[in-house]
Amino acid sequence: MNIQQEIEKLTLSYFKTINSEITEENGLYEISIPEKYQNYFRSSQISLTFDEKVASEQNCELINPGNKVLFQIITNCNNQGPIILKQTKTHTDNIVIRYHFFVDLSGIHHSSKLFSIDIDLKTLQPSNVTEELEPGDFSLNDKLIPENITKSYDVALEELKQQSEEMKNQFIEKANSSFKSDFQLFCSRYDSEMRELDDSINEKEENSEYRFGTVKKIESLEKEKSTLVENIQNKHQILINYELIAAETILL
Amino acid sequence: MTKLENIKTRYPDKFGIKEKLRNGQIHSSEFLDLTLKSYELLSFLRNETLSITESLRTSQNVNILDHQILAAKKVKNELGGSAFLADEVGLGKTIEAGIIIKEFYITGLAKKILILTPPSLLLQWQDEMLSKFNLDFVEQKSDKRFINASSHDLLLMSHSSAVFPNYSEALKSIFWDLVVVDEAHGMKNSQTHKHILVRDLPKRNLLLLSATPMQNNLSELYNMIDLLRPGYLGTSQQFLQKYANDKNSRSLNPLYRDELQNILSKIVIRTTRKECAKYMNFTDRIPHTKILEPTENEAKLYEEITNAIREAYHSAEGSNFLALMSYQKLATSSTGSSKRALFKMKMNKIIDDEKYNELISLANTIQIDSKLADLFEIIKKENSKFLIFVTYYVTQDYIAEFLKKNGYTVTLFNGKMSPTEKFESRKFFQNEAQIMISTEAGGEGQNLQFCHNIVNYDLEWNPMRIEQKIGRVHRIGQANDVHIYNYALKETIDAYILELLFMKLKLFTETLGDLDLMFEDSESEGLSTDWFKKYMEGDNNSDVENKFTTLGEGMKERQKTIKETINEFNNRVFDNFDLSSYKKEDKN
Repeated sequence: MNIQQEIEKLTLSYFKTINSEITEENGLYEISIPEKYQNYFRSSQISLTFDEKVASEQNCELINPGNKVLFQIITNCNNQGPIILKQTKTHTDNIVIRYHFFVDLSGIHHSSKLFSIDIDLKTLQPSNVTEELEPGDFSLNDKLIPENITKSYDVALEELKQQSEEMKNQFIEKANSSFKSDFQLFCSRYDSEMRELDDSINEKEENSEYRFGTVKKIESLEKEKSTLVENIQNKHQILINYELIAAETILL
Repeated sequence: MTKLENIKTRYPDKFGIKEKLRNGQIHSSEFLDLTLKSYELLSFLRNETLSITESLRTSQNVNILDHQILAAKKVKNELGGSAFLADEVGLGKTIEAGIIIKEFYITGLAKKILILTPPSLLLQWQDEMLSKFNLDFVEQKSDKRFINASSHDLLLMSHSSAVFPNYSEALKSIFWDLVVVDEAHGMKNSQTHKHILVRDLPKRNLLLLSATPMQNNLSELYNMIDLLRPGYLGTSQQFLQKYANDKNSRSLNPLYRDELQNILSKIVIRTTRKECAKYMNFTDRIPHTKILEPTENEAKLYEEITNAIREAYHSAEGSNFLALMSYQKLATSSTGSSKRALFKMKMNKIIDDEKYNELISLANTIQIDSKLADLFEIIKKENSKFLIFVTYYVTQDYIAEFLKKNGYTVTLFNGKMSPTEKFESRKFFQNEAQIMISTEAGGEGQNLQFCHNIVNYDLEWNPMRIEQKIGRVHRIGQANDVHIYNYALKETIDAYILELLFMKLKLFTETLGDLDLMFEDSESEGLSTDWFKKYMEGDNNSDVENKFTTLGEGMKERQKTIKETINEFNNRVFDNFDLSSYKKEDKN
């Protein structure tokens, strides 16, 4: 993925979608913000560029990671949760729901990916719609089987888990490896200290006072180690989000 | 056991898509592609490293920790460059801000950057930005390079200076790419000039820094979040009606707890000490308050000087107040500095020649200062490094000469030295010298965590400055508990202040977040003059003691109130939230 190209594509198609007027001259874009969005962007006009050189010469927004306007665009797009209608050219009466999920794995590392899962609403089986789709012009209420929506979502989730299994396993493997390395790094010093203390007891077996004191020390080190392990586990805790972000209702 | 078993799984549907499907709700198709593209981009951005990560990790000047990088990444890649950095005290919020500033500066996202801090932290910020990030911020107050607000791309100013009408107007005439506000709890009241200034500054991004984002009620939280994202929480009334559970807005409606956490997680980053415990070693501060019995001659000399100052203070001519205060400070430092005070007093006709000669003779009979004699015993017992803070060069030289004569390796650090000399002195202290004797200049910016004994040979009358000095050694990277030796002679003004700060208020014993709340914005002169006045206005020692006791009781009450409100509110609301950069939870 060329990040800068993707940013440029998203930014310009976003402004087109919200009906902004866009003019461009030598890499400097003048965007007029429609009234509906002026409050959101706190402006009626935005000058922006995707070129660092232009940004250094002009007083404008440089749209790259970290830029506020880009952030506003992404946030606005992410908060839509759209459901739209699509159909094939030769459709009959079959309905397939295409669920779009954003699978987000986080912990000490981070990984995320989009998945689209098609479920036949009648058979409640995974489907794979490959035909070309056009905007749908049918009435959803006539075609839907409301009682099957939750069931279809559950099937989609099961399918999603299967499809994302490899991603999940790789992530957990990576997380385990980091966890193991942290665990070894921080716990080994406790282990070696405890071992040394333990050995010293054997060497001075006859001295019971020493023995008692050393056992106490070992116990206290064990307690410290268990707190440490808990902390390391907390830090490395993995969170898996199977987030439903959009859906398409497809008439097949 | 070396396998991670801790996995949480969630199935959020925060837009209610299933419900909408059941109800047959549909949307226009235009946003589907954009939604999918934006998630794809977000996914990519989340994994983007900062462009400066590697150079920072390999830098000799700064020790970057995981949570700081994660926080900076989150601010840049997920929060659009504006955030509330609310890590608990001692976790390096300044470093986090520094990483963000540097990243934005290097990548061209920010060209004009303004940092607003309490006055006592100005020099520390300037030094940290320069020494750790090579960012040369111009400071408005004591920096000779300062021309005017619009002349500097990297500008540092105190909250209190920035609100002066001429400065605030100048600041408002500039478009700032990034504004950083340290100790941002000072902005909690929307009616204050500080809040209004930050609100009205033309800016692209804003970073608010505070370890105590909530002190009293949800209304304050609203005010600060509203600075970051105006209108994000609706109107103040709407916000409080929904989230507050009582009329004081001090408890949260439990029904909306998750919702508020979700909202805050998109604005606030808060890493706790517990989370960092595995790679950060938090050590203790152990204060040793040494209020010593002076020798007869020391007591007499101090008393005579104080009486003369007191007489001048009450005199009809109303002698220069600040000059009198400086004589009093000189008299508490050492015999050598007392002689300096006497000379100045003679020159300003506060004492006559006869009195001057009499007191100089008295001073000459003092063989060794009681403070130094006591300190020498401690140094002899400890085979470790000592950082001794003094106020005056004459005291610095006196201690250095004595310790050198007794076979110790000593290095000096003071404001007269060039940057190179300072650098060499610090290096010498780290590698060879057992003792560094530093004037106030050493309290700023230097990281000396290889030493764990601090001596406040002369007591600073401003608590924030004492904290800064302790902060030179008690900071990230300190492996040992830090011993703080505080000196004063009985019945001197230093003794009363020492007793008040260290024994009654028990300040500085840990990295307290409430210190800056108690003394926020305290300029050194403010507190110092107040204390000096109390000392001068006492008729005798017992009267002075009573005045300081009353002062202490008032401060203790304030300290108690602050602690109670923060603890109560934070426990109920804020600390239950998980806003760490380690995990990005969505409770929907």
